[in-house]
Amino acid sequence: ELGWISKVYVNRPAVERHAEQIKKWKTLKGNWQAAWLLKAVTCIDLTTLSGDDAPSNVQRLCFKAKHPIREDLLKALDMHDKGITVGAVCVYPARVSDAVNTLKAAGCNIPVASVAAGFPSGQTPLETKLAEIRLAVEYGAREIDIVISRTLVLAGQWEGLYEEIRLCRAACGGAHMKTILATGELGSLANVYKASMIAMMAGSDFIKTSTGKEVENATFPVGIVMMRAIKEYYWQTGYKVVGFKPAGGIRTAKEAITWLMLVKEELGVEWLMPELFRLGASSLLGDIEQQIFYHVTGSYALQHELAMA
Amino acid sequence: MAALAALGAPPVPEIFATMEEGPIPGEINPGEAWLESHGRSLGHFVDGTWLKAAGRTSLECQEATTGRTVATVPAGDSSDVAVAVAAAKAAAEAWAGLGGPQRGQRLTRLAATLAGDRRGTMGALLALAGGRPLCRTLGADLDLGLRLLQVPAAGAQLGPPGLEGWTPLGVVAVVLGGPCSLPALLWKLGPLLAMGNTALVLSPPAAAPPLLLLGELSGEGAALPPGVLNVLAGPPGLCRALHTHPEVTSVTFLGAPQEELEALVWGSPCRGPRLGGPRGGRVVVIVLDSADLDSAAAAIAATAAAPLALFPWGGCVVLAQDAVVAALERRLWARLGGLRLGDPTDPKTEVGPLPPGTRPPEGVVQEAREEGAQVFQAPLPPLPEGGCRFYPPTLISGVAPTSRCLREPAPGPLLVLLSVRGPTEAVALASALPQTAAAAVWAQDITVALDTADRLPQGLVWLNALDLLDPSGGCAGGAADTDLDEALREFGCPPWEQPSKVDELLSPLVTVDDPGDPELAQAVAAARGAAPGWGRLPRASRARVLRGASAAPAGGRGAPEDGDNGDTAGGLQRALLRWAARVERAGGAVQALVAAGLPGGVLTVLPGNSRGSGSRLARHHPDGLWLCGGDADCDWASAASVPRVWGVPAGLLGAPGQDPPPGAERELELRCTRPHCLWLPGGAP
Repeated sequence: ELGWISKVYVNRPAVERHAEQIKKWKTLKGNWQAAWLLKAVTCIDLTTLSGDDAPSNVQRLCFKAKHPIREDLLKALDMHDKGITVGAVCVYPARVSDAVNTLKAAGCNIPVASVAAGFPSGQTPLETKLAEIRLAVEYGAREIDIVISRTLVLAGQWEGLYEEIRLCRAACGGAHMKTILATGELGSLANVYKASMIAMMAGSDFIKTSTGKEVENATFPVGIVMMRAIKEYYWQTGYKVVGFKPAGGIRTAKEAITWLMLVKEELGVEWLMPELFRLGASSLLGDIEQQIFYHVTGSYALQHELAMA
Repeated sequence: MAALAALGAPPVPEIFATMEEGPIPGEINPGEAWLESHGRSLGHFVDGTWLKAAGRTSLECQEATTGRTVATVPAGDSSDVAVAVAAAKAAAEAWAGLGGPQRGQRLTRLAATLAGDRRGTMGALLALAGGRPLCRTLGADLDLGLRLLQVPAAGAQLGPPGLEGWTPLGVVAVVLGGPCSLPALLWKLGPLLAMGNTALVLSPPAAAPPLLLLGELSGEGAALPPGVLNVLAGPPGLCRALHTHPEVTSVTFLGAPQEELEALVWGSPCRGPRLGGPRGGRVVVIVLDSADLDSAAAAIAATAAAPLALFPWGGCVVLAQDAVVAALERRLWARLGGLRLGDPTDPKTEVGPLPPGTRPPEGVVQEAREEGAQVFQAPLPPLPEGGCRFYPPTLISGVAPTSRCLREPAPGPLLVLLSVRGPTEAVALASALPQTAAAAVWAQDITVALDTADRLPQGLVWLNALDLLDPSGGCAGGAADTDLDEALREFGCPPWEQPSKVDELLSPLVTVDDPGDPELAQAVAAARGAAPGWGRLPRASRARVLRGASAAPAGGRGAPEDGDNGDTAGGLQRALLRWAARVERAGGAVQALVAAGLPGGVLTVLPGNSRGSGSRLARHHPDGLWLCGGDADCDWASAASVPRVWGVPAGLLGAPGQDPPPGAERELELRCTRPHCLWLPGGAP
């Protein structure tokens, strides 16, 4: 029943004005900043999605994922025993087994997320998409980030989109599925809203803003619209909570905190946990560690003092 | 690290669990710092320096949240007023003689000083005094205030069109009834100063600190010469002392709701129909079924939290179409519940305390509950001592237009939600609500939205937005819709007029219950009935009717205007006025007009003496009032809140047979019309 699709209205200037206001929010200081940064760390999906990924750099990434912040810094904040690790490690399907083996050897329970379904463009036939998902699950990925076909959105073929996502969900089996909407390529905020709702109806566990490879990735207007869609879905169903993941373009600790504050405002404090919120980032962790180093010691670290991811 | 622990911050694991946000630590409130630097005891600011006469009683300036005294000001009295008026008069000639462009430059310099590093002080003081949260006083308010200084400055620099030959009035007194926000004050001060007048601001102690800071800043950076802006603090009755000073040519009242203003006005001297002030009112928001409900809810909640700078009273009435009212309500509950209440000088606070001097609207809410409405109130967080000044954001739904919360505006974060069946009903309800200053229409269907916006009577209408205000476009001050042009004209004296001097105190006319005036009442009623139809006729038809009328008057001496097709309304008005001036007052004239096609009721001529008729007419609440051969009735009428009062000066039409003075036509045109401003946001900010 897709009659509601025609009744979705999003006013772009109003959303953009709201987003401008958000950029002016004052950032936190002191212990509050440290706590929020650690929360951001636990929600990061540490990502490496380059053409030149090899077992060696994936291994390094996994070790960093297990110890994202230096032990002594955590101890100074009295958080060393809380098991601070990142939320997940995100790699291409071909590198999933490397990641899984490394994490198992290190005795770490962080899930490995794999991108699938023709990442990043999504312009591959449906059978190969489903095959890719099944293989990734076989290799040991516990989370799958699928990419939708933007063509279906731009053509307004909502039933087609629903069917595609539903099939991907079935192929994931027990793995947890994030649907990447690639909002930079969807054309309008109304399309973003509609695509979010379809993705949630078709069974996604998370909706994600972008692949990180588009021209425009996670911006506040898009995030606001998607979060409103999540809230509306929760109201409609009464119980279903879907997670939100902004990805791409988040590089500084300040931006990470602003995203967290935005989630808290739009969705509520219950969403501020790794089960319902993730940040797709790679260099962000470095900046967060710097800020925590500064908070603890009062000066910024030199390059060799913090472990490279 | 030790320093942070000493701050009393909770340990990191605790914050990690609760994800609370914490205060912004550390910086000393710049407003308090400034007050400290003056030893918490301020004086008047007159003639470029502080004036602290000895032996005066002190009045306390209290903070809005807790009532704590933050500073003291001397209680001004008539000798202080005399000194201030003398200083202002002395500076007036020089200031006027500087010329428009120079004045514009000075005002821009003042705006630059305000925008510089003193903005924090100004914002903090405004938050302290008035209770508006800092995020507003330092944000939108300050930006709007600066625009209000810069735009008249630019206008004065370039020479506003149609104002050549206008001379300044001289010394203008601005009387504040209570703390008012920066834009509301600068809305008057900006054009006032740009036109070449000098200002004397009388303020109650609660509102004094930010104004005194403004005075101090005006001297910095060679902005305004000494004596141009003078600020006196004093008890409310101080404005009566003005009547012994005939140099004060105009008085403006600001910053208090209608009833309090009227209390101030009676018993004060005033000059001509220049008794004006923004009459605040509520904002009506119409949400149609094609609206972006989330954005609408966000904007409405923000308006409830801290009302718009120019409409500080009365909260918001939301008219939502049936299909979306439930969804909108749910979103409003979520938003209102998330608003942060607290100390207004804290940058995180979104809702401050009630403005000082206003009562909490508990009675209104209680009545609504008794009528069976659903009242949602956001829970109050733990508040600093003195928390009784806070009122939680409230949403009342399920009331009818007869309910008290709709009939009168109530201060505080109060929203009333009504459900309507469609845009037509929404327009009807919006027109029927008393005291509405502005309206907003939320709809994505552009045809419906523009049509609704067009039919709303409010002078200021936003489409899919709230609180977009810019002086160059036009802002409404409640019933007296004005835009910048008119604001400038309010403080200038056209070349065909002398600044009027009246020196008797204005007292409310004892309304003897005279049963007479049924004719007058009928005439006004008939005119009101004919107004929509006549107003909607296209210009050409109106022109045709009037041309026919002027060609065939009883006693036919009016020369018809040889009209080109582009007849300006001014030209026809001129013809009609000339004609009316020559024709004897008789019912026959009206018949001739009716025969010419003028709809009945549009023009009524009544016999009688013109003296005193102004006040009689004013009692019937017309939308505008022109008095030819102006007299004291004008003052009374504008004080009684008839909008758009004008004493038509005799010289306006020129001697018979001669052309009227330049600019007169435009003046007539402007006086006949009322700006209706529609804001359409679009594109990236």
